[in-house]
Amino acid sequence: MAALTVLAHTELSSNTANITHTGLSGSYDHLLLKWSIRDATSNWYGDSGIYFNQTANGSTYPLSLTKLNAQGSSLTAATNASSYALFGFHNNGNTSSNNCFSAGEAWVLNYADTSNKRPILFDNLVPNDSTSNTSIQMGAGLLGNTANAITAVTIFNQSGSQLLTGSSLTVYGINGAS
Amino acid sequence: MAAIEAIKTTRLESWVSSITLSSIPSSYEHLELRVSAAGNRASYASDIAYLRFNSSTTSYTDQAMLGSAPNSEICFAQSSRSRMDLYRLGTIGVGKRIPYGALIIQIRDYANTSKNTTVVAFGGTSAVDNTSNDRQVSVCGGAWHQTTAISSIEFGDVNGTYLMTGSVVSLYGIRSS
Repeated sequence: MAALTVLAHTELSSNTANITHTGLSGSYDHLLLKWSIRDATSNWYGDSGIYFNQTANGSTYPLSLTKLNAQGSSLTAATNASSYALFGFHNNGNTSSNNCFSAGEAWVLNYADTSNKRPILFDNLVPNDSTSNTSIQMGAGLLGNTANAITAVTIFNQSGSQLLTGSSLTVYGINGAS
Repeated sequence: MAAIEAIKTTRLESWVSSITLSSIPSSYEHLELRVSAAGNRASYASDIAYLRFNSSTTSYTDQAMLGSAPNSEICFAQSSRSRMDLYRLGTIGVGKRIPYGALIIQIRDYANTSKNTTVVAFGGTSAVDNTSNDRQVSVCGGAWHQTTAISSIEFGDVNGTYLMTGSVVSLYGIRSS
């Protein structure tokens, strides 16, 4: 059995509010998400988020998060005690260098486990032709929901800007040895 | 069809100035490099690796780095270069044994002719034989400001002149369907 399987992939052919993959099988050990995002924000960056099972609700899907953000020579750390989404990473905005897209990935461990909370690790890079306006982030989160296996993943822009053509989200399933 | 496939592995049996992986097929969504390598930079216990795509010495965007150096946090962005600089590469410069550095490098959208190629690397080295505390870990990367498909990758040492015997560079293709 392959250890890494493509479950879903979308690359946008037109500007769209978000990318959602539904119907994800629960038969894998972990999920690996890879995204590449540029949005319509009139700035060099926008703020992305990821939530699960099409539910933007912090009561049903509480998600705590800690993150590091480096922008140029500035380093900041922050935590979100409770939210509903994997926040804290940037994407390329529409005034960043032409054809530049952010590159991020997140591991969602034990995503189908309904007995325990699900840990998440992510990293993300926003390339740009500016030493002060390029950024890189890393973070760790914990999805507090234990009632539902993750069957859907959505990536979106926090301020509602549309994701631009070429933005993509791929979901992989990871298997260990049986 | 496997989502990840091995394309090529190069293991050095002698010193070389750089490693070039050529004739890379464009049939994948992304590429990944897994590297264990050291250079011959003198007097330091770590160095910087570089990538060049399609032999190009232009169009690399400014590059971001977040990591440790060595007992404190550090981050910076450096001006665009003639190559993609990535942290860390081991070096024979200090110590009794070669402390190979480790790098896992994502090369995203390398064959997409509508998007620049974005590179994200997670790397580090620990110089076990020296007392300089030159032990570092980082996440870093940038973009190649071209939409030409990448068919060759050169891997080398920024401050040294050779990659050392025992260095290993493995290239994988990552599919999206």
